[in-house]
Amino acid sequence: MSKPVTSIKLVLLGEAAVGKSSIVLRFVSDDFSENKEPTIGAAFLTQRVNINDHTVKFEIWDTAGQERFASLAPMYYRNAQAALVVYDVTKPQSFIKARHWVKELHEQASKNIIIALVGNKVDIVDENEEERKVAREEAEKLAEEEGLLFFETSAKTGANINEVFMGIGEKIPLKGPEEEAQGSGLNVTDDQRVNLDSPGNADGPAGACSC
Amino acid sequence: MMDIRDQYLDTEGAPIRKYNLRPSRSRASFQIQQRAKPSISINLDNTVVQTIVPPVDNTFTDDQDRAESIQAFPRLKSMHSISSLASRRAARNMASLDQLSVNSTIDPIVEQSYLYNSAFNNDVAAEGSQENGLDENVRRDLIERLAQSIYSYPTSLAKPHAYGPKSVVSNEIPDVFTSVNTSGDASKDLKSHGKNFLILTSAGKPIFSMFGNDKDIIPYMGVINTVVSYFQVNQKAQIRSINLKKTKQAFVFLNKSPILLMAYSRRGESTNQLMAQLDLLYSYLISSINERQLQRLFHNRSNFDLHNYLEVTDFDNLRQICFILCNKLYPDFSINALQCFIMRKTIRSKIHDTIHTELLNESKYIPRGTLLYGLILSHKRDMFKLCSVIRPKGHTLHTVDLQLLFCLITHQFANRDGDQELWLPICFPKFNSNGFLYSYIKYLSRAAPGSPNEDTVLVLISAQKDAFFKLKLFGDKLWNKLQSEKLGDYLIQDRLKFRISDIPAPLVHHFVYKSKKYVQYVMPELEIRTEDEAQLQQYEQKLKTYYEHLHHSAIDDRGVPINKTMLNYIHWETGPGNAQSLNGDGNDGDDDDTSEEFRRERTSMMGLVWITPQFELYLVCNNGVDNKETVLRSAKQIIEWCRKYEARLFIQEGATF
Repeated sequence: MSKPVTSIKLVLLGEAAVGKSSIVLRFVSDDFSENKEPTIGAAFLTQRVNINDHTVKFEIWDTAGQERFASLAPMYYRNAQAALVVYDVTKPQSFIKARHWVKELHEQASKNIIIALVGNKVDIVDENEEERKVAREEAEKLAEEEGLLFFETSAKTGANINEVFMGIGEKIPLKGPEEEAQGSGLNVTDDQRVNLDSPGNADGPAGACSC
Repeated sequence: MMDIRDQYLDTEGAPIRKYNLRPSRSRASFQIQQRAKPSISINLDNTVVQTIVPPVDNTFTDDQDRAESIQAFPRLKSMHSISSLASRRAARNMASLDQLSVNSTIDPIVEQSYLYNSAFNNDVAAEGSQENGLDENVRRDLIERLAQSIYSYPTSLAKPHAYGPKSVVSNEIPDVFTSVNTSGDASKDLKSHGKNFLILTSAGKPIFSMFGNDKDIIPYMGVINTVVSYFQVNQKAQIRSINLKKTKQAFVFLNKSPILLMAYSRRGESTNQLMAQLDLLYSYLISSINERQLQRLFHNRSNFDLHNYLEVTDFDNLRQICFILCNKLYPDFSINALQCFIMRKTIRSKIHDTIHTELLNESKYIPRGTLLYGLILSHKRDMFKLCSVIRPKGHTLHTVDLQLLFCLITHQFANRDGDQELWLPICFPKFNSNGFLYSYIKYLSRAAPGSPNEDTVLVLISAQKDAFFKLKLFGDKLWNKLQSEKLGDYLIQDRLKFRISDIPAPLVHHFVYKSKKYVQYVMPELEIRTEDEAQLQQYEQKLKTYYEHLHHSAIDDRGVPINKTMLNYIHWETGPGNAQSLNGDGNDGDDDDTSEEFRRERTSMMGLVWITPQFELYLVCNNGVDNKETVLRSAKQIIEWCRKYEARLFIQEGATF
């Protein structure tokens, strides 16, 4: 008997150069590289993890942070079940941008999307507290007001990275049991719900977007 | 007006200050739109043989040394003499089938060396050659050995003295061009760079410079802007270039209002070559923000600051393109063709058949019109080779568009996990400069570091911005299918790469053959066995310069071949003991003992360019080769070989739908 596999469609948003791709690289390959090329457009990755009895397959959209590509963002977050809004703890501007993303997600994305607010690059702050430009309290306050998960991470050292994804993974299957109970035996619908690879679902966003 | 300008230049201390910038038609230093080229055409049977003096052979880093330098560079002297009309006439009169007009000019050193080369039983030891330890028999023996084999030494980078003194011929390609600092760090003085690209807005705001930070380049913006406007207003003309003959400096302008581009070079490239490079940089800008967007940005605000609108990625990519243009042997750009992955004919057609069937079978997942264009590429050391092409009947993408795409791919995957799939909006400027297309990019396989395999990349291009999952699905199915048919390995392993020695073409060191029909080119593996990046780059740079000269000799100022059919020989020479030829400005003076040997080596390089409506062939011979008949025979053999294996070397049809 194989474990049930749940797919989670996840999108990373945030200002350019806050470390979105590095977070993904750390999570997927447990690797880090200092001078990473900025992402153009978006990159798509998948990663399987075991959470409790479940296997969770993360389907990750790592988007470009640059303003130029902002108009494409809705395409990536429209059907997302989870979003990481990333900012750089040493750059106040990136936190302002993060606020904007949270606002936009609440307005545009699906209602029950799980959002995690992630302050990256804490390794710099650990070395020199003076580098910190975004207070932890300020971010915690935002997270509380908007109902977000909150983490401070370092893709460089790997600190807290897995916790972010585990946190999301644990939050999403919570809905699982009841829906599974409802749909027990109806494997087809269940498959369609979670498997974004399946052709039926792949066509879905296409139709929705042709406006 | 002029006074103000002179003064302005003065205060900025710009290097061009010393030369009269006043445009007057009597001065040859300004050229607008046209240029006379010293050239001689001789009709030989049905092939026009044309000899052109390569525009510039050596560049000087310091103009104070000019007088000495001219002596150190005999070829330069000969160039001076041949460019005078009198000597051209003289050369034409004695054009007794001697295509090497360069050698037949009045330069004493060259003449002697020619004599020496053509009649080796002369006593040449007296000519100051440092190999005077060799007696005549040894010399004769060496030359005979050369005639029979391509190489005189087994390894090209071994320490020279391990094989005794350097002799007449080697398969090392000497550098007859003074190297000009190009790779130096950006912090250096702007003037120290041999080449620079500047991009600014028509209002004079800086956008990008290859070297120099904003503070350094801002003073030049005003100057560039003034020069361009001066010609627009007063002469109703677009200035193309300013060439300072004394210092070998060239300034080339490309006005794509609202964007203005300028190239600066001391490396002796032609106006046309620099212009093409500028056009490529402009194309990159357009690929990133399309033309319509660009016009909109500048429509209401002519002083819009594009610098802030562009992103780090754009500057990195521009810098990368500049680096390739300056330092890499990358014929894709200069001869406007793509390199193809060599594959057996049957394998290639099997792959294309498979793609074709897969397209038909999966049409319910990937409706007609979703896929615009598809490519399978192999990627190694920043070089891309086309493995196969999926295209609609009657449509092809422009090489420039594909080259821009390749640049993006290299860059995006530089330190990315291989399992990622990219969804990349890109404008193909030559396809439609006003809209974006979307590319699905996936590495089908990634070679482990050090393995002889290639990276294989799948690119699927669509006009629909949400087609990602459809293309992904098709891509996955296609790759599975190719692997199940055991075709995948053929895409991963470059089994048929060849060296120059695999072709019966004696005396040839390296060549580039372009098939005009397929817009693809082929060249042998580089003849260098080293893992050292710096050495490799130096070697590539050398070859690149040789090819640039060859290319330039056959192309007129508008980038069109001078004749539909032509055959040129070019000869590069430096005298013995030319200390400057290798380490012009002491770039890598650290490996002194090798360069000592190099310095003592005599240089006599020959190259050939052959252009017909079917193909273009550029070849560079081993050092010391001077037998034109043999070279021509080798050239013919290369052409025969390329034609024989055409189906292997080039993608002919691709998978059309």
